Amino acid sequence: MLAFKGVTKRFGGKTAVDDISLEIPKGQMVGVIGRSGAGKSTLLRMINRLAETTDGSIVVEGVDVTQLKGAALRSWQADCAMIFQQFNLVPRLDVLTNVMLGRLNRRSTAASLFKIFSDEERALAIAALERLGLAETALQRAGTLSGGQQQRVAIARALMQQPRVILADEPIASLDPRNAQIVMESLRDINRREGITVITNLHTLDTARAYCTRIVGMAAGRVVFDGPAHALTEAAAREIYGANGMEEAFSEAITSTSLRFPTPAAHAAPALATA
Amino acid sequence: MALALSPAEFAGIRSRHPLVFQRSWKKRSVPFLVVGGTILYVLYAWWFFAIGAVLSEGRWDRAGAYLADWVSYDVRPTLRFKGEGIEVTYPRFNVLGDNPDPDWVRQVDGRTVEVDVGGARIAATPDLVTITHAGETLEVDLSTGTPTAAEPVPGWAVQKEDEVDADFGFTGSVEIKANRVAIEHRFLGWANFIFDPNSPFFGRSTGEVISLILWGDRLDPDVSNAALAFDNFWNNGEWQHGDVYAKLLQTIIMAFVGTVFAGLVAFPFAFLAARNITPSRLVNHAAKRFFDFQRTIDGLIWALFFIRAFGPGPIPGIAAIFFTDIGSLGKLYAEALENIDEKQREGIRSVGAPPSAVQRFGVLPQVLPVFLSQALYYLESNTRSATIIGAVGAGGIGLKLLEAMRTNQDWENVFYMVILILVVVYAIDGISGALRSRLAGNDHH
Amino acid sequence: MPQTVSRPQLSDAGRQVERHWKELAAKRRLYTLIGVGGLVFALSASLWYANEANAGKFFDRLPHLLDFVSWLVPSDWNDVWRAFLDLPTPNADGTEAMSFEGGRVYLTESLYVPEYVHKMLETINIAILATLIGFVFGFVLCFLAAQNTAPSLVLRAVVRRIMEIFRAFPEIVIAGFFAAVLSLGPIPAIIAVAIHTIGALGKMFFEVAENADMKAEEGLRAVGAPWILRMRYGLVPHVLPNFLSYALLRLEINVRASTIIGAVGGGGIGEILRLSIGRGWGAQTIAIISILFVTVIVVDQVSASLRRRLVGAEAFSPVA
Repeated sequence: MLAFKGVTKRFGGKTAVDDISLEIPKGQMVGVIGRSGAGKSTLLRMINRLAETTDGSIVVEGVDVTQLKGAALRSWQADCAMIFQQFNLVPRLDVLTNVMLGRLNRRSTAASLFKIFSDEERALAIAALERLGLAETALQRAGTLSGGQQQRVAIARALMQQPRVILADEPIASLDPRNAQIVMESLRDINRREGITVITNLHTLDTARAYCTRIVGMAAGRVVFDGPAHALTEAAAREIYGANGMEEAFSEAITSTSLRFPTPAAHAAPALATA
Repeated sequence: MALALSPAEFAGIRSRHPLVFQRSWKKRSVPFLVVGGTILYVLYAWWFFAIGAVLSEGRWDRAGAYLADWVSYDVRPTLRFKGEGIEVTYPRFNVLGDNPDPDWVRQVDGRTVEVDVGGARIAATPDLVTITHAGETLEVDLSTGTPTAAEPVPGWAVQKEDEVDADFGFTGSVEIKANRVAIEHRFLGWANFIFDPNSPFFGRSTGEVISLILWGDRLDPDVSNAALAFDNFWNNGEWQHGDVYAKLLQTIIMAFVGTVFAGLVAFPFAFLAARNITPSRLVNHAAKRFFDFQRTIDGLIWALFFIRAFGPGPIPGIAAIFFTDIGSLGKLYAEALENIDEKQREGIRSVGAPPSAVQRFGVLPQVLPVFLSQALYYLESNTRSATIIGAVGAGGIGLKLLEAMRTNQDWENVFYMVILILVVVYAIDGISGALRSRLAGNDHH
Repeated sequence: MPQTVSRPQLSDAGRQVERHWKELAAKRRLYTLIGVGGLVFALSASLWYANEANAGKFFDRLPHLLDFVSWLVPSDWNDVWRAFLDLPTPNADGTEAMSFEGGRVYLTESLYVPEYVHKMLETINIAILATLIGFVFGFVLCFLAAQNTAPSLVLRAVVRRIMEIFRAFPEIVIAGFFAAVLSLGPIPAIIAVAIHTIGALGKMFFEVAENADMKAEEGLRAVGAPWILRMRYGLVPHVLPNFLSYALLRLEINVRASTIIGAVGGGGIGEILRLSIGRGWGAQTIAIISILFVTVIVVDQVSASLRRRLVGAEAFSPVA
């Protein structure tokens, strides 16, 4: 159980997240939707403390994670894996090592410093990669993979963390439709098979409706809709996206092309090949 | 969670991906080779330079004393026992001048002298020396002819064969022998920074000096007091302000003239070296090799040669910087020229301008800021290297530093010059940085 | 073909623009003139002062420049390679100038390293060791000094000040101080060059780190990795090639720096070069300059090719 209690985030005078209270039971797959700038990303980043809260608390199993410090904080961060829009892998390291980096919090720092990993960990990493269909790329540099492949590597790394929660911040915004589908299916699969809570920010309504059991709609830092996917009516969508944002909400194109988030050419080419 | 693997799964993964588990020997050994090679090299260097021996033979105790000298000075009165009397003497050249009478040394009566060294008080008579320090008292009996400390001896004092030593830390120390008590009292700061003991202004308070300069009677009938004061300051025997500033100026001039001339000479040669400006491969190549040659000959060689030819002074320093930087700047300038935007040149050419005008309007505006900014970079770094080239014998502050260090006595003068050098280096860095950012265009600042 | 451009008739607004343009141009010309005039003045004053301060005056000594070069020409060119290899010369006349064998460094009974080779090796080793020390410390310190990686603001300010002072502090003072403590020789030189290198490389390193892409670091922060591992995996793989390339560039500079500091008493090839030129030993001087020249070329070439492999063919920082 993950509970937001009056969570607020202000940047200077601007309120990005405004007094949000939510309860997310274990094992849910939650889609957070809204226009860009609605505060979705900040909300997610506050959960694993890449952003600090200004006010309120986020309570997980009775612990207020906004107050954690030092090792306890890092241990919580290891418990809630994060998937980024830009994958945030180490491009110069091979895929296998990138996946094993998911365990950095759970192993000796000295051994990690010298890149010493056990065969067991290698096998675990391969298992995670096999599950995402990427085992063959294990020894390639992460930077040479396509965007969709890199995002799957990031998911494999998240799996290596053995997390309680997976947070995905616009995981498919930089991907083409085919890869976006694979990534979302992987997340749903993890949610269903392991029972890990997945909270994912999504730009578009369709994706959220297709993959998430519960949808939280945000506008201007506030929750304006919270309910099962099928309860999301057009009126509710209009409130989330505003009158002139409806096109944005339904357009798959905006989320999946490189119009808004230009990806390097090196990534784009292989992505097309897989599509 | 599927991450806990059964042995069967583990074996399966192993067989499916053998490469992951049997990484090539070559790949695995790279880090070890790098680390091992580095360690081996350090061991070799350790042996080559006999680092261990040199470090262990170093006189580390002196290091502290030398460092203290940077920011402090000491006064060393000696109390000599003459029969039943006692006499206070000072070394000949001491910071208090010829007739020192500090208030921390008091002749109580014919056979008693009291000295305050920081918090410690020394009371000396010909047969008994009493030291009070840090709440403890040390009594040293001199009546037997051998100084003998009364038990218990405090931790800050030591009984030696024929003397008793007391150490008060930074503020000073005392050495008691049968016929004398040698005292060292250390003060924070630089002694006689304005006037040396030979100056008539020596020992006067600031107010006194100012009133003397403004309306006092002439101390020297030939010159005004202000001129005298300035002359005394400028030619201060211990600090040699005038000479220090003259030498500093020489160092700055070495860097400045060397860099400017190098830039001026490199400028035309760079046009010859740039492939897109001068169409002859032969000329390009010759100019570039000329730059390489200039860069490769160490500045030191030029400095030494010109010291032989012109004697020590700024000329060899200028020459050293000039000759090496022709090469460095020339190479950079040529590269800048080769990277210019051709469109601007074509634009000028298209209006039918003569070749010289094409260069003037199509090339120069593009490269001039780059040229100047690189010259400024070199000016910065040359200010630092001019110091060391000077020390080789090319004059300037470097040589003066070297002379000051040679005696191991004048570390405070060394520190003074270091501060001046740092100020100059920072100032030139600042000015050049500001100029460079202006050259880079207003979009940056 | 003479041409005349007829003056076009301008509107009021056009005339105003033209007047402004002329004013601006005049102003700019004035500034340029002041700038160039100031430079010329500063330059001539500097030259005059430099000449005054020099022991020998430029124009008095200039005609004798050729006499000065003449000592350099050895009476017997074969002496150059004899001097280089420490072999006895048939031209020996009993003076120190003509006895080359003295400087041999014996490895075994009969096998020796010629003096100049040994001294050159000493200088190179000073440079390598100093670069190595500078690299290690600069590497560690730069993560404390870079804006985007510093774990504490206070620490960052302190480390940056230390780097600045290390960079600007005159090397001869460091060398001189340690020479007073440790006696003259190469070790004070190593310390002096190393300290300067820590400052210089540290600054370049933290600038590289500040320009690094922080996405990977953020990813590892989200994994819960401690600071040191975030640096190890989030930044180091990204910046290491640049770091190594800068360190190699520094090595090239340090070979020159340790030659010079050698001449001030740090040992190595610089010291014997100074002695040799000072005493007017032609053959030896040519031998020393040759070995120095070749060494610098080799070091520069090797370093340049390694750097090209590390960071590609793009140009390197122009700053020494």
